[in-house]
Amino acid sequence: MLAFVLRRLGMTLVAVWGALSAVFLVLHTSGDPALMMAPVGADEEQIAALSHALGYDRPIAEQYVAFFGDVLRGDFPDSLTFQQSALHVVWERLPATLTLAATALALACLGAAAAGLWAGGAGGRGGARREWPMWLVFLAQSVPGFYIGVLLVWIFGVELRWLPTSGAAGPAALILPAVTLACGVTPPLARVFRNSLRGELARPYTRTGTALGMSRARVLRHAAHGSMLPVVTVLGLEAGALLGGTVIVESVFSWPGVGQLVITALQNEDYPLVLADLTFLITAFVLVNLIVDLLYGLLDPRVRHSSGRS
Amino acid sequence: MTALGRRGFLGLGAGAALALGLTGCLSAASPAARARRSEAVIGLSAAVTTLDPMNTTSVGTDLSVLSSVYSSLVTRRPDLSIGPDAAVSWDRPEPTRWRFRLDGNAAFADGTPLDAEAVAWNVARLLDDGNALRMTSNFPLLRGAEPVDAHTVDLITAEPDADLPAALSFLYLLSPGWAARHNPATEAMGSGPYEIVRYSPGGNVELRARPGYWGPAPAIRDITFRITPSESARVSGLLSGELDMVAGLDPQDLERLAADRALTVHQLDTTRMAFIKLNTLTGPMRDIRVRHAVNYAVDKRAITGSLLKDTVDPSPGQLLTADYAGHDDGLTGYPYDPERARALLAEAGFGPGRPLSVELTVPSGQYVAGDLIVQAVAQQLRQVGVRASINSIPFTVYMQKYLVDQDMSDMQYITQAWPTLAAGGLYGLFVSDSPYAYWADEEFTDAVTEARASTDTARRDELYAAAARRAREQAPVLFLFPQPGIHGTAKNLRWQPRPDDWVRPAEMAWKEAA
Amino acid sequence: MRKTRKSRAARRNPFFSAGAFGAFVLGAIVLVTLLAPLIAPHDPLAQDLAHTNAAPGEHGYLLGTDQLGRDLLSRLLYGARTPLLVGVLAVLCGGLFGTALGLLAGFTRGWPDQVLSRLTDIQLALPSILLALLVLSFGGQSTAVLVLVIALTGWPAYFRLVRARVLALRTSEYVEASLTQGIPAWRVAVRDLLPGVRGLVAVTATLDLSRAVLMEAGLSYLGLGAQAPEADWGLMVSEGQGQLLSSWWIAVLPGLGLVFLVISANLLGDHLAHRREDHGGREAAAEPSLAAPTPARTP
Repeated sequence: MLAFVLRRLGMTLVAVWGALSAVFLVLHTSGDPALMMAPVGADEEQIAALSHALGYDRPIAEQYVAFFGDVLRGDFPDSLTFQQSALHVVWERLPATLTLAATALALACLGAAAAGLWAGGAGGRGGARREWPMWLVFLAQSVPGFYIGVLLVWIFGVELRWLPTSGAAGPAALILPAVTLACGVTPPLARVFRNSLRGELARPYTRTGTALGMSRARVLRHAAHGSMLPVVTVLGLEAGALLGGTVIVESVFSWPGVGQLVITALQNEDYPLVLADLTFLITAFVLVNLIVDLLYGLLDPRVRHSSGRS
Repeated sequence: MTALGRRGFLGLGAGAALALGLTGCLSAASPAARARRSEAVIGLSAAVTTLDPMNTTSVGTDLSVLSSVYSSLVTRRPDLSIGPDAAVSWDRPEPTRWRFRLDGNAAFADGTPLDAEAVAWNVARLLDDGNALRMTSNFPLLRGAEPVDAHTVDLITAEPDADLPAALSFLYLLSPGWAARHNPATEAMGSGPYEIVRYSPGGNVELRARPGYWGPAPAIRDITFRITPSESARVSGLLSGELDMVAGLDPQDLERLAADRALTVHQLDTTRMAFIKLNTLTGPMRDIRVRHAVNYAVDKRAITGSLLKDTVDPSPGQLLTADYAGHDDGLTGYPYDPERARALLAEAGFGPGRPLSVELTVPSGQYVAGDLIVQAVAQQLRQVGVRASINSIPFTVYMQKYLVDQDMSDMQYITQAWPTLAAGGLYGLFVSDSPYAYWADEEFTDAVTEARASTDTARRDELYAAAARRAREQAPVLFLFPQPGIHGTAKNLRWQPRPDDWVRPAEMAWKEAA
Repeated sequence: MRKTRKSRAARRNPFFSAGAFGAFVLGAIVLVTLLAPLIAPHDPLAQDLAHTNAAPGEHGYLLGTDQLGRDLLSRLLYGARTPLLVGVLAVLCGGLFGTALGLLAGFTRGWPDQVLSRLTDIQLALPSILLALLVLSFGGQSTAVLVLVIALTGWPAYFRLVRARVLALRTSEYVEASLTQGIPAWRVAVRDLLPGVRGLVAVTATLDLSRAVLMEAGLSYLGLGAQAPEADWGLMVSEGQGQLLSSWWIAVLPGLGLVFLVISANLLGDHLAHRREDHGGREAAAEPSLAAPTPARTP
């Protein structure tokens, strides 16, 4: 188990290193970074001073090393619009994003379980009557997330006026953004659950169970249990994708999280905040993947003894 | 998970959806319910970026919130006159010295008095260049403050400055002792009627009336400023009763809002005149024929009739709205005449063979319908052969280029107002040595300079009329229209609409059970 | 459909017969986009301020007008240009790049394979939208950057598939024989291995097109792709969002265009993928179902 944890940790470190290197590379190949970090109206002297304070005048290799130190310490230039630590601003917005992502993930699990059980639970019999949820899943996969959001705003916010459509204003305001975000995550989950469940129902033990007169619900329960592993894998992949999805969904609904923050920071040309936000999101994404992998290792002993996942 | 069968799952899903739906319906409380609890929710179009009242100039958002928490020496009332706040009276003992007598009860929330020393400290903080505060540039003539006694303070200006009280209505006062121990950008402790209960950068702001406030207590106890950047969300929030008050609405939604019986829609001309400034110092706009051509090329009436839903009328070739002292009623605007525009352009040497290309800058999302208006203008210019490329940039960058770098593009959309509603103030933005002007015209500058110094009102009005005619003729701008002010409130919320941008909770009250 | 039961694919994939439908719709969208200048009733940029926010059918505008009185039908016809152009170019760039590197890695094995495989690991560990934002915010916003950034987030899918396939093909006797005969490695790669991955790449590219289109639309919606006054479906949805109350059609109709475009590409891609599976490409097709088939979506 220890070897598995260490190996995963090593891979994560490599991924974090690569991601941060990408950030560094993009930042330094696009012109003078001090120019982007300086507030509007700074003169040459101030820019030079800022460049010095942020170490942009040091040799590039030295900056590269220092950059990792800065990220670890959360030391980013101050946000230009909020005039305070950029990381602090990101941190303040984090709870909103986590609430949204967690709710969306829960909804996606419910949706995928329902669709998967209905479509896969018949073990491949039942035809179109059983397959219609998968058509919905296919549709959800093909509609851009922002468009789902705009349609929900139109129907439930503007026409029916049932639900708030903007900002974090109590639990009701969470519904539409969470549903929109869930629409992006449900399809892969539903597909893999349905296929896995169907495979499980075709295996001898379930057939035997049926033959021995076990109730349909009991057979299904066993089969669902057996088909969990691939679902958990996809769940892990999707938990990370969820973070990326928040960028668009939060923008549609003006949800005050880190995703909307990065877009408004971009619009305001607040590059220190963009830098801090993206670095934070990317690192968080890699770490979520690590956690999911470790959990996966706990769930399935085969994983931690095999030589690694491809 | 495995303990549940398929039915269980579906049931759970349906149950969760139902529960979420119910919470949704229940929490969408109505204005009437909030009125009983003495609460109000105000929709703001942009997030509050800082709590430091000296480090922002955004009246409609940051300062509106902070004006409830802090007090200023004087305040601008809804009828645009200047009234007392922390100062009970003021006069000018010398031309360059303003004397303010403070309310003896004025005190901060932590009990420290708001006295002459505190005011002097605030002025010093404002004027210290090392603090790099955004409000500082609004006080170009202020040189310092001298306490006279505990409750009297003198403000010294470099030159006689009649507009100092007007400017001071933007200056909110911090507690010196508190500011030394706290970060005013992220915390607030003032002497105003409300205190901040909850704030996070970019999030909603919640206020509660402060029990120990030294002035008249506000009518509504709990205020929430809800950040709703999307126009459609602000409008549907008003319609569904989630929001009690939204200022600065887009005229496009006027019809739908006015038709709703639960709402009051206030519609008035603001004191802001919208126009497209032309850079007469460099580039093609140096040529008066080109400036005239663009004025003839744009159908102002078509724009007010469509994008602004006839809420305003085109300007009669004036830089001032009718509210200003010194407004000249005798002028007429440039008619829409594309043929004449083409002829003028041809005279200036532009035509199909050598089309005129200009850059048209607009601060994105800053002005009511601004982004659409420039698109309409650009399209109409294109029809007379002028290629206008639109450059939409953030407001801060825009102001930097305009004022500090003195690098304005050929044309830029802007709305301008002068808080005192004096012609001399707004015209001051067009005199030759103003960084706002991009126009060097002796005749205009002389008339305005003489008018400002004149004490004879008849002569002064005559001079302003001459200046207005000169501006109309020389066309340093593409004349458009006043910016419309459309504000929506819940039916039983009492609030006097203002022609400026302030949204002050202390000016609101719920009517008795409607 | 159930009566005929032609192939296993028909049972496995309920969208099988929809493949033809997908090809038809995709073809129609491409055709309409190319012919837009001929069939559009109006200039997509021409404003009619007298008839702004006209409802569909009003004042002779079949699908109504937007807030500047521009004909929505004409804008819809033109509006697929940018998504399609950017999508196709990005798929080409990403596909060529990923395929070339996949060939290289699978063929040489050794350190290039190690390095490139780790690189794809890292990149797949990052959400593509964040990567795109990073490049667009610090690298500037232009169509070229947009194409590059979408290609950049697409290449690992090709790389993984091609590499796996080449690894399998490389051990075949035929390839081994060619190599021992002294034929230059690159010629073997191009002559013997490339044809083996062509079909696979084509399937991946079809599905990747829908990903690229979704990403272009998403970025344009966020204001980082196409710029006003251009007619672009993603941008049009965002422009119309503020008008949902008074004129829903401005935002809702362009989104429908996007939905049809993406669905058709997904249907066609799914169909091609399953047909490959049926025609013995099993060992290769087994993997796409993990990596790409998957109309990977930008949420």
